[in-house]
Amino acid sequence: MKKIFIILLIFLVSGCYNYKELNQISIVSSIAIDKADDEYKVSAQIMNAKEDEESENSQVIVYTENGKTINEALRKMILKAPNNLYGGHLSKLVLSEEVAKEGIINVLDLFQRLTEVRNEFTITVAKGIDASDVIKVMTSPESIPAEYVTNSLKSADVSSALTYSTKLDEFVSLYLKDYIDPVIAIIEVKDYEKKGTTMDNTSTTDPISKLVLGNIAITKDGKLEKYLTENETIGYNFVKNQVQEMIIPVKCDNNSYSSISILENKTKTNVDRVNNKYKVNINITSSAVISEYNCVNNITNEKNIKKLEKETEKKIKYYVNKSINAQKESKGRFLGLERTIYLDYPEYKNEDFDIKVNVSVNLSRKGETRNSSKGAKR
Amino acid sequence: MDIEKIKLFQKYNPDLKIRELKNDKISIYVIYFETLCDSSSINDFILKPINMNIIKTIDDIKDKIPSGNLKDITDEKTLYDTLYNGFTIVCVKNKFISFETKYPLDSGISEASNEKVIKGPKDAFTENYQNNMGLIRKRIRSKDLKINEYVIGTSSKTKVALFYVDGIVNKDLVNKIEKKLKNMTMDYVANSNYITENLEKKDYMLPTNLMTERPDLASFHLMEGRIIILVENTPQVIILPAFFNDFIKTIDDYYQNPKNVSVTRIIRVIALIIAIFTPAIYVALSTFNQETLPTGVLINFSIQRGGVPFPTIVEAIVMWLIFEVLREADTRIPYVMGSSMSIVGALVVGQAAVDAGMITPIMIIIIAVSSVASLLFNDNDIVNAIRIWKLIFLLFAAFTGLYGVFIASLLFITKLCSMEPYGFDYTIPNAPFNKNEQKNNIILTKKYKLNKRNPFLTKNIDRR
Repeated sequence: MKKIFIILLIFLVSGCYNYKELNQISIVSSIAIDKADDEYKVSAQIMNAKEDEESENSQVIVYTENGKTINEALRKMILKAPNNLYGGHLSKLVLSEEVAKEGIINVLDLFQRLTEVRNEFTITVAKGIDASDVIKVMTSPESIPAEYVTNSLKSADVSSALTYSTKLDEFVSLYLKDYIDPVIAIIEVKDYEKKGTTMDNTSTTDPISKLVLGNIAITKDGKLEKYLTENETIGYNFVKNQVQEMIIPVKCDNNSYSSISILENKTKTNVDRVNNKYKVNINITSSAVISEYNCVNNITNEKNIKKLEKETEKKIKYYVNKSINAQKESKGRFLGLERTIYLDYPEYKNEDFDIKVNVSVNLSRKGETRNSSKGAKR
Repeated sequence: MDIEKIKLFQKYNPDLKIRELKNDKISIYVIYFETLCDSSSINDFILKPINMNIIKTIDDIKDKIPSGNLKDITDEKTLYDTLYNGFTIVCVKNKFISFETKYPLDSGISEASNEKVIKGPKDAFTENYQNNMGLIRKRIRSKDLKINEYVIGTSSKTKVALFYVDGIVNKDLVNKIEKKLKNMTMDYVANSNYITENLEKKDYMLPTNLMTERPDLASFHLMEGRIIILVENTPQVIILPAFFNDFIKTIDDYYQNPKNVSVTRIIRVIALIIAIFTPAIYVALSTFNQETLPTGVLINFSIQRGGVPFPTIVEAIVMWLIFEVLREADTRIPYVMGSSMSIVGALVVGQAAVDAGMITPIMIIIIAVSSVASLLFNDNDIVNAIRIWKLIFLLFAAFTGLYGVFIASLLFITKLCSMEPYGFDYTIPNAPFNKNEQKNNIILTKKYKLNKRNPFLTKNIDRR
C-alpha cells in the first residue's frame, strides 16, 4: 500500500512539468532580426504551420513583429501564430547588416538564456538585403529553407574552404577570449522579389529568387567589421586549420589550368621569439591529388609533378598572405595569430610580429597519374 | 465391507458395473467402472478364466488369472481408490482382489503445439502420466535419474512426480521442494500451475519457472541440475528454478549453428527492449523532450498529429488496449473464425482509425512494433509480464517524459535484481557475474567448449 502510494505520488507531484503536445507548438526553424527605427523587427519562420494538401510537406510561414527587445517581439507573435513558439529546433539566426554592425553580441543574450534553445544554431549575416526577406524565400529541393541553409553550409564546410559557419557557442566563446575575434557566414538572396516567397519558386528548375551562401564576414568587438573576399576566406580557413577538402586551380601551362584536390590538410602554428621580436610560423602540410589536368606536359615524369607541387604551394601561400593582409588592413584579430603568441608568451602586449608561412604539398597517388589525352596525342 | 454396500454405491455411479457369475454355488462378483476400464481385457483375462469354471477359492484367482498388476484389498478406502484408478475388482466370498485393466483415456503422443522448433524432435508431453514419464526415461537412461512420487489433492488424488538427477542436482533444493510438496494441502489439482503457485509463496510478476511441453527441454534442464515436476493430466511440465535469461533461450538454439544462434539471441534481446521501451520513449519524446528528436522527424510527427483530437498518451493506451483485446480474442476464438478476426483487426482498427483522423499512423507503427516484438517469446507468462511493464513505462513517460522512462528502468532493474526464486538470484549469471556461463548467455559457443555446468545451480560442474 505504502509503495503504491509513493509511486502514485511521483505521478501527482510531477504535474506533467514540461508537457506539450506536438500539435500545440509552432516549431521555429529560423529567426531574422532587422532594425526598424529604434526597435527590433523580429521575424520567425514556423515549420509545421499546416499540412500541404498536395505534397504532404509542411508549409512554412513567417511571422514578423516589432519590439524594444527580441523577446518582447517574439512574445507578441502569439497574437498571430496559432500556438506557442517552440525554439528547441532553431537552426539559423539571420542578422541584417545594420543589426550586425551595431553589435552581434547585443542580440545573442536571449538565445543563451532560453533553456529550450540549443546553442548550436548558425549565426549568419544578410548581405545587401533585409534579414526577414532571407527567411521568406522558398527553396528547393528541401522544403524547409532553414534546413536548406544549414545543410548547404555543412556541405560547404566539408568540401570547400569557401565559407565557414560559426555556431552560437563558438561565437560567444571566441568573443570572450582575448586576442581573437569570431567570424560569421554570409547569406545572400539573388534576384529577390515577392514571387520568390511563394510555391512558384520551387516548381521551376530556375528559381526566381535564390538563396546563396557568401564567404565570411569578420567581426571586431562583437560587431560586424567587413566582408572577406573569396581568396581571403580560403586563406583564413588555411590558417585556422579548417580546410577539410577543396579544389585549387593551378596554372600548369601558359594558358591552361589543372585542378589540385586537397584531401587532407594540417596547419600548425608556433611562435619563436628572437631579439624581443615575435615570429609566428604557419606550417601548412597538405596531401592532394590531381583531379583535372589540361596541359600537355608529361606528368608521369617526377620533375613535372614536383613543379606542380611547387605551384600549388605558391598558390596556398598567396591565399594565406591575402588573409594576413586583410587582417592587417582591418586591424582585427580574426586569424587568431595574436592569441597563439599570447598563449605561449603571456606577457605579450600587442607588439608587432613577423609572420612566416611554410607550405608543403605532397601530390599522392602518383602511380595512378597519367597524361592528359591532349598530351598523349603529341 | 461387503458386496451389498458396493451395490448401494452403484446408485450414484451409473457407470459402475457389477457382474455376478455363478460358479459351482459360489458367487463371483466382477466390479469395475466401464468408463475407466478396458472391456476387452476384462473379457479376455478375467471373465474367460472364470467362465471356464476353474475358480474355486480366492487363491485360485491369484494363480489362474494372468495379470501383471494385482492387489489384495483389505479396507474400504483402498477399494474405492483402486476402482477409481481403473482397476477391476473380483470378489469371492467377500474377499477382494483387484486387477489393473486401465483404458488409456488420452490421445497418443503428438507434436508440440505451442513450442514450435525448426530442427529437433517433435514429440510432446501428453495428458498421460505414464507416457510423460516414459518420454523422459527414454532420454535419460541412467540409474541416477530419481523419481519421487506424491499424491496431492484430497479429491482429485493427482499423482505428482519429482524428477532429478542424483549427483548433479543441488540436494538442498530437492529437500526444500520435497518438503513443500509433502505439506501441500489441496482439494483439487487441475493443472501444473496449481503446484507452482504453492511452491513459491512470493508474488512475482515475471515467471520463476519454465513450463514446457517438450520432453527434450525437460531432459536438458534435468542434466543441468534442475528439478522437474510432472503432474498427472497435464501436458505441461514444470522446470525449476528458471532465471531471466532462460526466457531468451529456446531448446532449438542447441540444435543449430551456434554462431547463427548468437545473432538470434541478440535479436531477441533487442526485441525485449523494443517491446518494453518503444511506446514509452515515443510518448516521452513527442510530448516532453521534443528537442531530442532530429528536426525532420519532429516535423513529420507534428504534421501527423495535426487534427488528432486526443492526447498522445490516450492514443497510446487505446491502441495498446485494442491490440491486447485482439490478441485475447485470437487465443479464444475457434480457428474457423480466425481470418475474419484479422481482417477486422487490420482494416478497421488500423486503416480506418487513421483515415478517420482518430489515431496517428506513427502510433499504430509504434504499438504494432512493440507488440509484435513481445510475441517473440514462447512462454505466455513472460509475454504478459512484458505487457504490464510496457504499461508501467508508458505511464511514467506520460507524466514525466524521458526522466520518467529512466525512473521506470531503474524500477525494472531493481525489481529484477531483488527477485530470489527458490533462493537463487533471478539475474544469474549476469549478476552475480560468472565468466564461464557467458559462453551460453547471449553469445553461444560450440558444445565442446560448454564443458562446465552452471556453478550457481550445482556443485558438480564438470560435464564430462
